[in-house]
Amino acid sequence: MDTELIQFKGVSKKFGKNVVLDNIDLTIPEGKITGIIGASGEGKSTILKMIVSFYKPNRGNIFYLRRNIKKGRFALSKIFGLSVEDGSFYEKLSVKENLFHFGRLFHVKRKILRKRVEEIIGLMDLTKAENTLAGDLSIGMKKRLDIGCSLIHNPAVLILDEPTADLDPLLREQITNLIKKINSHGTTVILTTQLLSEAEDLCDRIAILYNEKIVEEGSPKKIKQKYKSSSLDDVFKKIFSKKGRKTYQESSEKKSKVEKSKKKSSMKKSLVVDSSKLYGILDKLDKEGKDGD
Amino acid sequence: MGIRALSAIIKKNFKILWRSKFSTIAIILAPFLIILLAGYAFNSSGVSGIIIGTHSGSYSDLTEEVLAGFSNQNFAINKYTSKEECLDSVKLSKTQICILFPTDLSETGSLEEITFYVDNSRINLAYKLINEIEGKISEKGSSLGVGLAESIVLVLSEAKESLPEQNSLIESSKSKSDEIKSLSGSGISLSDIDSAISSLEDAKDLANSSELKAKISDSISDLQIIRNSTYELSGNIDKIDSYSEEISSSLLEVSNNLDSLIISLDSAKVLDAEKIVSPLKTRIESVNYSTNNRSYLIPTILALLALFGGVLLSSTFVLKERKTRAYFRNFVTPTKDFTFFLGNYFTCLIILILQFAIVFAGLELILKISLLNVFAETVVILLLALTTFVLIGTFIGYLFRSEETTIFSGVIISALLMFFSNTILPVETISSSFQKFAIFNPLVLVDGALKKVMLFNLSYVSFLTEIYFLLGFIVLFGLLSLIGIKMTKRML
Repeated sequence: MDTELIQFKGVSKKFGKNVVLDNIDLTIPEGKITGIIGASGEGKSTILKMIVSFYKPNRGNIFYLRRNIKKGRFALSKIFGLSVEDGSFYEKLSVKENLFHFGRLFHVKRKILRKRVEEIIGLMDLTKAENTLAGDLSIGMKKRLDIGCSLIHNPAVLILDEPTADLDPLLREQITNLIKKINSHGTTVILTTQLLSEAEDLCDRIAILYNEKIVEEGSPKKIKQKYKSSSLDDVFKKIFSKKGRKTYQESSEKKSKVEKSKKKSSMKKSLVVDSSKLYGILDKLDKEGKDGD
Repeated sequence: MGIRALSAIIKKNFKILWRSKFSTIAIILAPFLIILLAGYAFNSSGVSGIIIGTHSGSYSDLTEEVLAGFSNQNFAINKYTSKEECLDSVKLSKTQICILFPTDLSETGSLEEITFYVDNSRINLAYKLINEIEGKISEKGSSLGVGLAESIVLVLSEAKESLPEQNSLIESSKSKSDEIKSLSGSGISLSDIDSAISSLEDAKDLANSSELKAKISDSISDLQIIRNSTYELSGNIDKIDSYSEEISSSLLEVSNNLDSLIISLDSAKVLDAEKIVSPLKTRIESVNYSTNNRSYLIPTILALLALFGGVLLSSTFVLKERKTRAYFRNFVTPTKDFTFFLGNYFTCLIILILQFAIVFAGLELILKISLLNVFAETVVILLLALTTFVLIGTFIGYLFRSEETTIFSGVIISALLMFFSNTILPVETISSSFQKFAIFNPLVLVDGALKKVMLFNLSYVSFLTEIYFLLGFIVLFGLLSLIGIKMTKRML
């Protein structure tokens, strides 16, 4: 039986009047790769940011090894490493300088940090670019640097928000392999993705987020069995047909309201681009279904 | 708190700053250039390059003399043919002051006034010019007044000397008049003549001879004539007596008046013409050791550099940090918000200290203005000032989201602090309702404290109030900035 590493119990989150998560229960096992899947604006990133205590739940509790994370934000922050979709590092610092800087912010001891930086540079395959400014790196290298910065303090849990978004298939494969490699060292990985095939290939366990709730949770295999489907794409299609698919406009409006509530402006990618990805897939599935019929 | 994390943040900030070399050089050297240029530009005392516009219906010798005096003071003179032209020259900044002289201004004075027209929108210059030019004209007016007063005093002195002589003449006239009066009393009495006539008539009655009687009658007739003449004379003597009485009384009155006039003249204390023209002598002395414009300006420039440098640098720094991709990661590290706040504060403070070190070196080595005797006090004031302004800028940086709004707000707030200070117009010229707040303006506090130290060499005690208020601002904006950090976290 897997150890329950992180548990969400009756967690709700609102931004202003907009409910993003409504009374969700979620269990993340230790040492596995867990994927959170959902359309843009469904609250995937919110779940990740709540794990690292960046957002606090309006209701319910989140536990790390049965310890309420609300009560030990600073102690627990060393356990988690978070990498966001847009990347979070200094473009005017080199790869090495970024790693050293965040290592110091994570209070990694001087001697350990030096060693750790070397390890991360090796693991991320950034040796040749270690003195290059982050802003001058290629997209794939930036992604690897970002993940490297998240791992600098050797966290028990690596949290990745859309790690393969905007990457070409080759880079996507590199990152996927990297995630598997990191996980193979015993690091628990939690990620969000809109690419269902990637989730199916990469994740030991997935949670499907729909209409502010977790509608399915388990291994991709079990979920596919439950829905008698051959792929997660098919599972999604069935969930949407059963529960009623939200229109693209509804999804857009919701995300817009949430973003407004968070007073977030230009840093985030346009929701039109984000939402269009998943809805593009769904439209394609609709079309294929019709063709099949 | 995490000293290592704090030093990492500061180190990172400097690394990033150093990689924008042009910005770094601009940030460090701009204040130095400002102070250097200002130091050279204002290395003067008084005003120069002043052009005076004048108009008069007819320029008298006196007017020309006054104008020549201005020329000697290196003021250029432009004569205009009409009042309107002269006024327009001030409006169009062709001249700084227009003086209208009365037609044919003479040394004996004129009922018309000498009128000055100045542009009050250049209020500092206007007052300075009025002071200088009116002073010069007053000087000329005083010297003319002294001349006129001197001649009056001379006349009075002569009168004072001659009046006692006149008085003695009056006295002697009075005594002669009295003598005439006493003489008039010793005249012939009519009753004596009447009794003589009556005796002669008795004698005539007793006389036997007709010849004797005729002679007695002739005598009576002669006596009658004498009596009539005496009667007439007596009437005239009465008149003389009465006139003599009147003359004596008038002479007494004149004598008394002269006496009191002499007493008044004797009691006149000031007979010095200069004292009569301007009995109250005034002199304006500066309490400053130096009269160089540059000396007055340096404290204000330093305060302004601290204001603009502190507010703009820290607000831009905070916003740049907020806009970096890395901003989010900062908040998921175990490093506390306060450490990031301190990191930003110390980075800005170090840059500003570096700026001021270069500025002080420039003052000492190039402009030869030494602040070494008040160095400790100046450093204390500037540290408090920089901290206050950096924290105001930090708060602005967290308050707004776009770079344009932040820079605009930084400039607006700095400009507001400047407008409501002594920089453009003295705080005392601000309406009383605003003045209540303006005196607590951090720029006013810093400027005031720096002036106390740099211009008057006063000790800490003299600017303790300013220190307390600046500390209050530091606490207030420090707290507001920390709230700002929490707010921006919510926006991520």
